[in-house]
Amino acid sequence: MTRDFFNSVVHEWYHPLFRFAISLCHDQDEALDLTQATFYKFSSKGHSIKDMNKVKSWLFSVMHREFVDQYRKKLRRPTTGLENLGELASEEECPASEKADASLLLEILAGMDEKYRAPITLFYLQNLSYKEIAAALGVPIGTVMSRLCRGKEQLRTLFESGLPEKSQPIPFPKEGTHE
Amino acid sequence: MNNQSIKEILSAYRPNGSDARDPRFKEALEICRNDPELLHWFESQLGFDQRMAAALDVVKGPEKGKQAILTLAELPEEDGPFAWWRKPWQRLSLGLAAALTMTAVMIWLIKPAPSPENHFDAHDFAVSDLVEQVMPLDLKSHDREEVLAWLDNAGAPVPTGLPEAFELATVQGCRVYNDGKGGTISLFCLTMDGEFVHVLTFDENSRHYLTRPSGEWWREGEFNIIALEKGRELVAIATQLPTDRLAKYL
Repeated sequence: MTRDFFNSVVHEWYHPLFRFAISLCHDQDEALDLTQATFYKFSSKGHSIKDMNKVKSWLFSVMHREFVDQYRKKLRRPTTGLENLGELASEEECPASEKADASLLLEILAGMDEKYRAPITLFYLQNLSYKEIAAALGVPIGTVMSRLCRGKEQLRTLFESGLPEKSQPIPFPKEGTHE
Repeated sequence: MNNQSIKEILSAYRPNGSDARDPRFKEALEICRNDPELLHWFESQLGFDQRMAAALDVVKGPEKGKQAILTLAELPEEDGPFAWWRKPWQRLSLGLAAALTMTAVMIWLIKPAPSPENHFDAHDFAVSDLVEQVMPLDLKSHDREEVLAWLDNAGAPVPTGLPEAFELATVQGCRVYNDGKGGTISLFCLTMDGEFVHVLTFDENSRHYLTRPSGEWWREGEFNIIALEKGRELVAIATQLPTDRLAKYL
């Protein structure tokens, strides 16, 4: 694996992987450890990935396995709140309301059963399809869909009960986008 | 499809539109388009999903963590063609690497042979015997391609016609058994729903050991077992999962 390729993968996937890690670990230091461990495995074993389109799924799958194998056992007491969210985007990049949403979202995710938390986080990263989420977590596609449905219902109930301002609906996708 | 199953499908539809061309959503979207109640639910859900995606996007990993990864990852340097010659420790490394490479090539050329413990009793064959003595695995790995390639290189039968759900199971490794008379059985070890699921594939010289008809469940000790035949490929799947839990994946 060349340095350029490795660096390009780190640049592209560092933040999404960290987001997934912090939803799993609820702690910035543990999330950073987990993210670095994932890239360390990539540096040593990534050459075995034959299809470069699979790098993304490989990374998230390895992170989840690493979490289950190593980190789940030694989780410290969950800490939440803006100060534990890593480095948030600057004021110019996003408004305070989105930062508040982020804090509440992570707090709610921290309290959810892990079987919902992992697929919900991967879904909201939007980088992985439901098939890729199923592959990363090692569960059937039907299970992913059912957990997303139930988990998002639960998330939405908790989230909107804590906020005065509800989300705005998005218009239905236009016809003709499917073959 | 009822409303609940439509909601379940559409809960996996990403708000950024990436799934617009996925055929799995086509029918659900069509029904939703023509049902005011579902349409309202879906538009509202998309709005919420977009808000959550934007919230998650706010979170970024610390830059120092990223720099540490970029700086400390051990990868080959991209120097000029003779730069390595100037570094004595790299010449030594090169020599060691050459020796290791030769060793690796020799190992690659020599097909991996199952240990003597991988013999099974041809006179009193039982699937459960092979499964109960599965540990230690000949190869322990979560990499599906690596495990299947290892089996192929070992001259063992490789399962190729497994149901789609098995593609998503977690791989644990494999083991190869032989009867001492040319018959070989491979064991591909997976986990699904928290339990081991062992896929035993029989080659032409060992398929006679499996006498049960395809599609029939039976029990040996703690294991539920089913034989499946697809073309010339014959497998037995053994697991402690209840039959109805595994059956839905077949």
